[in-house]
Amino acid sequence: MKKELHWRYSALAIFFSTIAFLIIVQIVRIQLSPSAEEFRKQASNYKHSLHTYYPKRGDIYDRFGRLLAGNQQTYELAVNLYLVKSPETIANVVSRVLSDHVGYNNSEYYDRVFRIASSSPISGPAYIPVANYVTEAELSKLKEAAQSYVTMPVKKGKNVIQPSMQGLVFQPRLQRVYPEGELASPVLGFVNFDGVGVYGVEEKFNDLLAGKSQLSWVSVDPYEAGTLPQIPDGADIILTLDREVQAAVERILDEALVSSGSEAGTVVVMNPETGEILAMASTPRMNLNKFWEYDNILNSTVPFNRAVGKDYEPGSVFKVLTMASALDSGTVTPDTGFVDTGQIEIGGILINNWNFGAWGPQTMLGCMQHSLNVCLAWVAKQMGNERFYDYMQRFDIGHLTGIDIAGEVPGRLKRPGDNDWYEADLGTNAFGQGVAVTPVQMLMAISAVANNGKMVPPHILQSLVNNGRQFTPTHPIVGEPISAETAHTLTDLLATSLEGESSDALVPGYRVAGKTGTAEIATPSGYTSSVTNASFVGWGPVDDPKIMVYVWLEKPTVSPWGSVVASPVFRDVFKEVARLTNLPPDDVRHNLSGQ
Amino acid sequence: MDEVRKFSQAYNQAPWRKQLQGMVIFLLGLVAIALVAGIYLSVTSAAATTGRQIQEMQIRMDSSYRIEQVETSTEETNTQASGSVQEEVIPIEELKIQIADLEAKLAEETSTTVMHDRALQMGFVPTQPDTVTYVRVPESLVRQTAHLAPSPSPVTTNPEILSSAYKESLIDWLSHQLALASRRFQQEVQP
Repeated sequence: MKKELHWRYSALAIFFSTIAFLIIVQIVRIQLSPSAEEFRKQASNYKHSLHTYYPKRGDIYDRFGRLLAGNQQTYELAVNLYLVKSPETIANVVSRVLSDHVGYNNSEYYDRVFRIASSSPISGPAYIPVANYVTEAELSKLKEAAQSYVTMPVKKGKNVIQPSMQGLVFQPRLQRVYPEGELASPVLGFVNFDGVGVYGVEEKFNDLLAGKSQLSWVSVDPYEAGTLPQIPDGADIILTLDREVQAAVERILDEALVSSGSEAGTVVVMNPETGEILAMASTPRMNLNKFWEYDNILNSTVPFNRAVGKDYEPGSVFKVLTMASALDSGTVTPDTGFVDTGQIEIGGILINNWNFGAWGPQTMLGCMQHSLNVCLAWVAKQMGNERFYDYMQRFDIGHLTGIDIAGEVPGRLKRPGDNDWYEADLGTNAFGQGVAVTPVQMLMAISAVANNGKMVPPHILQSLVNNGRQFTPTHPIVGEPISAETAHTLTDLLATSLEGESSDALVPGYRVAGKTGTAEIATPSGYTSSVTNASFVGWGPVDDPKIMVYVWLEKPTVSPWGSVVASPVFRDVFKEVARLTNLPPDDVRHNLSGQ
Repeated sequence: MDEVRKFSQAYNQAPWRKQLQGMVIFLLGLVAIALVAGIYLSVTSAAATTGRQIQEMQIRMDSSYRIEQVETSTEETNTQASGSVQEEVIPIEELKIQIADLEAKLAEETSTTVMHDRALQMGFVPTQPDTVTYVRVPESLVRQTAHLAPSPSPVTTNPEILSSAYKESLIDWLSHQLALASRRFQQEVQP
């Protein structure tokens, strides 16, 4: 009995051991078989999924950290071809819901969506986008429509396709948004549907702002979690602009355009000690959140930002540079006398004053105060070609300032030796005709007068925040075209000049220096005095300049004169900027500093 | 006493005892293997679950939302079989999008135009230069420009943030404690 049992137990043990052994052998055989490699390859196809990383485009802030350009959530709409049941329903609903969406509001859009939804996933990718930048409201409508098809009674019968939006999928995406709308639009530029910065800061710093989207294989193996590629977001940018100052300057400019009947206008506010642009207003402006309307607002002849993108003959504001050069070179002093006979001949042409009058004996103060073309042409003649144009070279006239805004133009200053330069150009250049400059060029050049002879680079970038670190570039001075003494002398001369003529540019409580400019505009039939560019450049307080303003009104109709239409704009801007930047009036400031 | 010895001898010589011994050893081995396998499965499944949760917190693994199943899937996610409500996991990637969106919305709510209108509605009026009184406040700070991140200079992190218990071995801990004790002892004996 015992032996019989023992035998049975042994047989069972051998049987089960054999089975276990065979299982192990089979496992090893499968692992080592030639087909195993094929199976591994097939498995690896499902081990990863393709994922596109979209880094956030960097934000743009004003100098105090207020958002000027950010990102908002929108949606990318796509079809998953493996899930599509009714391409017609998808095409119908999507084209109907997106009928007001720019880019999709056309008759071909239905056909496009239908074609995509009907295609076969075998021959290409299964996930195909059909719309981008879909808003929350549009997505809600699509969801409602989809839900209505889900609850719809099932149709029965052969060849009957149940309407369904199955296969329509969406993903959240970021789209550029400008919380301030039109504010500073010529400075900021915009981001187009391709995600590329166009114009302004968006274009200039596009490479930094836009991170690069990256397609990568992501392991679906949970044991490989945490190994996702780190795609850095775009760098944030902090501008030198002050949002409040910008808004105030734009408001004043808009009012000035109406009151002066000007065609267009530009006002730039800069700190003459640092070159920081506090505000840059120019017309026309556009709501950057509707950038696709760009063509309706700006045609090819209108620059996006006049302050950097359009040069013009500045007229008498240029006399500041002529006088600075003459004083610095020792050609004249403020007390140098000049008898104005009403005309002067240079290079074979006769130069007249703005009123075609003779102003008699004058000092340099009188020449600047009455803005006498004849006197300044004489001053330039006294300096001579070489010295005059050498100084203009020092002031960087005719060159790019290098301001960090896209679309800057260099202007033009003809020099002796150029094919189109004539002797007469010396005379006309002296009072700002025959030379083309941009407002920022003039600001940079004249900053030398306001800033102890040191010329500062106008710039809009204050700091850059990248990879969790804030970088603040330094902006060394561009040059010292004139001495500090010359700068002080000329500033005082110009301040006295404004006070002497009771200019509209005078700001109560602050001593300011400045110069008006009225330039005739060249037409195919020659210059005409009825159509002008009216300008004003000014700065203050003269003992410690903190605010420098450039005003340019194009083709004013109420009056052609800069002293009438541009000077009050300077005054209003200065007053408002002083208030917003907490710059006390001179007497208060002196009292406070004396405490 | 003899009775006890006889019982012990009989017990030791019983034939079923050896069989039982073998079976117990076999079963013990089986239990040990099962325990190890169980622990292994438990650890690996926990690791896989955590790994999956990490992946889902990073990106949406199925890439997109189905427009038809949004409501259903949300309900499914929110309500477990037991009836308890679980918060939907939103991947970091999508959270970043939502944060950027909220920042933009906040900026719109505090934009110049909106704030200007709200201030007027509340009865505020813009200041005029002649109504402003300037006073000198000693040691007051000038309004600072935006500083959104530290400068690129090297930053020293506080090494004490992470407790040493997470970094030192048992031997390190023992030697550290001994050093502390000896220092305390030295301080006590010194006058």
